[in-house]
Amino acid sequence: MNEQKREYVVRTKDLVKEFTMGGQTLQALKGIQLDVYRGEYISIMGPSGSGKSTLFNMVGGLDKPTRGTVFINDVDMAQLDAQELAYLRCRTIGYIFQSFNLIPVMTALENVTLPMVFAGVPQDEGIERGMELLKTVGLGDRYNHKPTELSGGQQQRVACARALANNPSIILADEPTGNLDLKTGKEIIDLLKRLNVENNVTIISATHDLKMLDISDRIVWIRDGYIERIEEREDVQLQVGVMEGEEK
Amino acid sequence: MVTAGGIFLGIAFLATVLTQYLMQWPVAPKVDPGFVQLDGQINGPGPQEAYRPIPVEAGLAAGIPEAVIKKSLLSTDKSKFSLTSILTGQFQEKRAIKNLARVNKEWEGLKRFEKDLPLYLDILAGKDIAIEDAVKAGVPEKLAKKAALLSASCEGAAVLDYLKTHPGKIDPIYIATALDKDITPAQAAAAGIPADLAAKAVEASAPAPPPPAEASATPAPAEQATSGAAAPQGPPPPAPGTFRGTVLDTVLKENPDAWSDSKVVKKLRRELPVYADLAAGKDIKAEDAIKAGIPKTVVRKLEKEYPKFNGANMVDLLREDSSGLKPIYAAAALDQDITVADAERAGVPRSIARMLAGSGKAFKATALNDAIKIHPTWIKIWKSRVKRYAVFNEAKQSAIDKLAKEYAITLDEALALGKHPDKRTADMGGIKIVNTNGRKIQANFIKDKSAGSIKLASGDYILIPDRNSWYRMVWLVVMSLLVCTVGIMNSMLMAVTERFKEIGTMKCLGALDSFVVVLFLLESGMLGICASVLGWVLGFVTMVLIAGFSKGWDVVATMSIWGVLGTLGFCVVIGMLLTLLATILPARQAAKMPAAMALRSEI
Repeated sequence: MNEQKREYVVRTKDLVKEFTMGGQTLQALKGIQLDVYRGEYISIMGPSGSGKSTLFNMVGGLDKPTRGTVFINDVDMAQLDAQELAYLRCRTIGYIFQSFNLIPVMTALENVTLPMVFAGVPQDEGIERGMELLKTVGLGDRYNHKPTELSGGQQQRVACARALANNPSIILADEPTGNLDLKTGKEIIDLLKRLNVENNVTIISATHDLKMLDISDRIVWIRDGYIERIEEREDVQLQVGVMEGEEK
Repeated sequence: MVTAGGIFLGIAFLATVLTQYLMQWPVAPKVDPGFVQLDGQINGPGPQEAYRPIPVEAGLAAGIPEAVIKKSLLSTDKSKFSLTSILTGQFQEKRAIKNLARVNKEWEGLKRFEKDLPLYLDILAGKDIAIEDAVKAGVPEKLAKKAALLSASCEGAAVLDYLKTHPGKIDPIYIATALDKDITPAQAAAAGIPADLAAKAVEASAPAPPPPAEASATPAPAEQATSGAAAPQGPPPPAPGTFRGTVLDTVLKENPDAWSDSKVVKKLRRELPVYADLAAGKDIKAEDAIKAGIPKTVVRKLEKEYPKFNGANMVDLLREDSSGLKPIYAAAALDQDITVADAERAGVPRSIARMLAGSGKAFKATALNDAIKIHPTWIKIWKSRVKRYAVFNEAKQSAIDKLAKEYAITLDEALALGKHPDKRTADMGGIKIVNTNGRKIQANFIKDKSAGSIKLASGDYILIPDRNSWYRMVWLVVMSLLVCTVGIMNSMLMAVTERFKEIGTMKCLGALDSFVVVLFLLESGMLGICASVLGWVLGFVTMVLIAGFSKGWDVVATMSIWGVLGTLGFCVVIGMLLTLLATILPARQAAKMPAAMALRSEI
């Protein structure tokens, strides 16, 4: 796979992000050069305050850089206006959050079909696809349940299904296993890997979970606004143990 | 929920107010159906219409005396009479009595001026007035005599007699002038008359050429003639070289500027004319005589027979000092303004004084005099009016009431008389009667006055809403709604802040800013409608219960279904509008939230 000529789905060039707080300018990113291949599973790692979240936001179309450029699918982010940005977020990127972020008053199916509503997909088609996605994540029978009636893992699975609603090129996952126990977390990790492999969806995740690093293709280390190093998974020494009761 | 609660209560309050208005909340006690007596006057087509014309027999049967009925007959139909005429007549009688009392009282104050004021006006007019009359009218005797002195004149002959008999007391030149004797230049020089003046006088005295006149005048009879009364042929010409004092006077008059340095000449100018007048046989004024040097006592003696003074002289004296007179009389004589306050102090009735002053602050004595002259006529007028209307008092109140009850116009008749083209309202001097819902009436007091007698059919009500508290109510409601709006805005802002993750997520999923705004507005709109409806129900039910238990359920029944629905609609619209208005700001706040908020784990 590595020998094939690969497309870039996200490219950054001299990415700089500055924040002004109380008259002082803080440089969160001091010139980032990062290219993400299509179908890759890449994890961004770094201590707090390193600019990890900022880079994540840049790459995920959640924020615009101060200087430098970010290309998502060869589209310069900085040139997009609010409407185009919304379009991008709707069709190109799917989001998975640490706290699931499902709409509490909507059922699982409605949550999954919500992005399709924004994309203008007709209702019947939407429902059909929604059901399919829920089946894919293993919640076909829970489509009518509200998030309060679902466990954490199930909610996150619904979130995953939602993230796939409009066939995005990228899935942005912000600590998806953060609020889950080990067992459920493993389920999510497996699900994500499956999606990555079977559907060729690029996954960019920010995480502390070693298990997630385990399945990544590349790992990006950030420190103080600079990329310290980018490593291939093979080059990283990880000892991932097995907990009691865990199924391998 | 807080938001909903706020709107709910505010709208409930609004509904309460509106429902009350709908029910014509009665302030006065509810009036029983049947007959309603309201007193006052009906402004309408005419007072006659307050009661229907009453047949004469019915009036007699009720106990109204025939004399009264006779005076109240209708002009168009002599078999009927008008009850309003009787009532009006009674009213007029009372009024006339009041006025008669008033004019009588005024006369008490005025009559003291009746006698004396005209005299002072005569003084003003410059007439001659006898001293004793003036003293009777209050002029101090001394003052009157002083004026008389000024005005009096002495008979020329008497003065001449005096001069002849007392030559030593007066300057010889003067005596010579008065007695028309020759004055020699030597005498003139002795008196200090400038020589050239004397010469001129001599020249002027030279008689005219005709010799016959000169020759015909023989000395003896001529001399006789000059010493007595004026001779029929005229005075004999002066001897050559001499002149007459009268001529000297004339010369002086012809040359008013000459010999201005001579003191003697000055004195002559002053005093010679008097003696010249004497020579001419005229009477001279007493003051002139005094000025000319004739002693006062003499003058006084000589004019004892003239007990009058001229008004003009009195006015001059008064101008210097009017303290001897009553202020009002002084003002009359001097043609000064009399202020209302001064007049009152002098005893003029206030009402008269004010009337005379009109829109200003003072009046002249002539006006007062006219008023005094006219006043007795007023007394006569009011006396006659009292007499005219007295007969109406013979009609007893019980009889009137009985007839009033029976012959008062009905509501329909009242409405038919009303000025409004649609005949649904009739303005009757303050009560507006609107015929709605069949026979149910609502009456709005426009002022405090009430109107005529109106007969209602059974089932009618007059309910009077209280306008003042309406405005207060409106103020209260507006205030509470404003507070609600602010509260709603606050709650919505809080809601937006709390839902930052949700909004962020939506944006991640592709929602546009406008979508978020619409979302919040829709939510609050829904909330507004629901809360408004519930609020209205609460307010409405509360008001109905209160009204029903305190005033009676039939009052509640006066509400129309359309009115009720109207208030519901109004409340809902207001509630929704306010909520939307209050949500605009928070919704925009929500829309501005960045998508990255979804990633944050805390606010």
